[in-house]
Amino acid sequence: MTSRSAALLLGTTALLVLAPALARASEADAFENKVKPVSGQVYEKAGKLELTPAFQLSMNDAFFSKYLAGGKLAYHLSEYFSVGVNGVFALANSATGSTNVCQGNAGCQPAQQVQLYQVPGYLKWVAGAEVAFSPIYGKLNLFAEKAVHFDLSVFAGADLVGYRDVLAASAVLGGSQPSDASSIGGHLGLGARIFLARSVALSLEVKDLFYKVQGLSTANLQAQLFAQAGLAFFVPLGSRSSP
Amino acid sequence: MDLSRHKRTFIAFFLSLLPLVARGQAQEEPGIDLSAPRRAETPLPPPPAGTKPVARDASGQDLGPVAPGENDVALADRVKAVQRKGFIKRGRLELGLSLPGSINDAFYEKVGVGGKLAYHFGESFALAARGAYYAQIRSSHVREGNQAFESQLVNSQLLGQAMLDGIWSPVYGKIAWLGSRIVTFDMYLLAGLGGVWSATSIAPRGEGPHIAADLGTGLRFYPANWLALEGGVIATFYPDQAVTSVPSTMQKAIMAQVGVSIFFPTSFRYVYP
Repeated sequence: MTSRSAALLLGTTALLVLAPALARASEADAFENKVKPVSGQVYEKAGKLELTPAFQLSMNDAFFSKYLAGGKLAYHLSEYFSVGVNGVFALANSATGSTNVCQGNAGCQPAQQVQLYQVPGYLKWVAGAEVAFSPIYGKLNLFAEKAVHFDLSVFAGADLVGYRDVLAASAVLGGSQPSDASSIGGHLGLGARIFLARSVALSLEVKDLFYKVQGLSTANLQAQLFAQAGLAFFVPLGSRSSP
Repeated sequence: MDLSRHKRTFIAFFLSLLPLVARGQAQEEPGIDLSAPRRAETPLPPPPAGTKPVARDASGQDLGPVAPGENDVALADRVKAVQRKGFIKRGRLELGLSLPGSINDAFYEKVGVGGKLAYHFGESFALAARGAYYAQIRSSHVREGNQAFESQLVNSQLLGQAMLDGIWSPVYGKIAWLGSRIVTFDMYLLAGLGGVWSATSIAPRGEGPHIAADLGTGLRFYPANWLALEGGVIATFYPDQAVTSVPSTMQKAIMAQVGVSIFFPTSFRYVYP
């Protein structure tokens, strides 16, 4: 497990295990234990479809920076649980600065294509399904003027990952071209929604994608960190009565 | 750009669902919105001159005088109240432990343990002495890169850091855990100067610490009067020349971290302004 996977897992575990106890009022509170707080959850999700066109950017890249676009369609079973499907396709895979090869007096040059055929990380598309848990709903005051409502969630899912396979050095010398491949993977992540209107929210996610690369003989499990931003549109299904 | 048939499938699917969004915009707004005051249906009679507002419980027993604002809240959220903070930091010491991990080095990943001692001069500003020790994990990408590019990867091996940071907490709010438990939180920005020790700081090169600057942000939750849980991202910048044959470069170590802090004194008393 990579360090960022461990950090992500640790953060998620801390969020769940150290779930906050009931906040206590201070001794000076005349209403202590007498007036229960009314936590108005203005933006409700239960029973709604959530459609999120999104853009993804890879982080912590070794050889290729990836730019992807796609979206997610989720159904909220309750205010806290949702299930959904997601899919993204690659707009571009560009070689990172780490692939520049520097030689003594010749300066640094970008890697040749045949060299890039030998390293993993060239993603083409990802499609999957996930379950999300959103236990936290909050609001904050922005510049003492605007109340901003948001929620935080953790999610996990299974994916089918399409990528450009890796070639061995001998195959590259023989003139082979890398083929497309796909494998089963999964992801784990943290998300936040910042509600902009009744049916629109800014969706921000960080997730770690795991998948296997067939062309690598050893250490073929790859982990790729992604940041995602999108606009979530909520569509009610049926009628729900408010309390 | 690499377009495939999957791209066209996704686009067609999402475009076909977009008209449903209009239905969501027209729905009624349930719940309580505190962002705008509601108009009272009948005006309340003014209290007799010279009387102080008094809180009463369900049996009508006096609970004593209340501060301005609280009375209004108890009367049914008719006005927008300025709620007092649920956690006071001013004048308290904070002792913290953190677990950082790098998120910008796929070749040599760093994990560590850190500590922090901070004093809060006010509710929104603190000064912190912060330090961390790191271990480096060599990933499989090093071998893959070496083989593909027939070269060696040069890196600055980060060993530890000691920083003096200013912490500004301009955003304050509260969250509900599973719709019931209320917890306060704040969002902070952090910046400071200090030193970083890397592999070149010790023998054989013995260059000593490199001057460094850091910049970060994060969230802190306050589940108890003495406890804070936090998560954030901090970037540390320092100059280092990992190998003498290559130029010195500005190193960027971006760490995501989770942490826990204990505040001293462990309790506080709210003081009205």
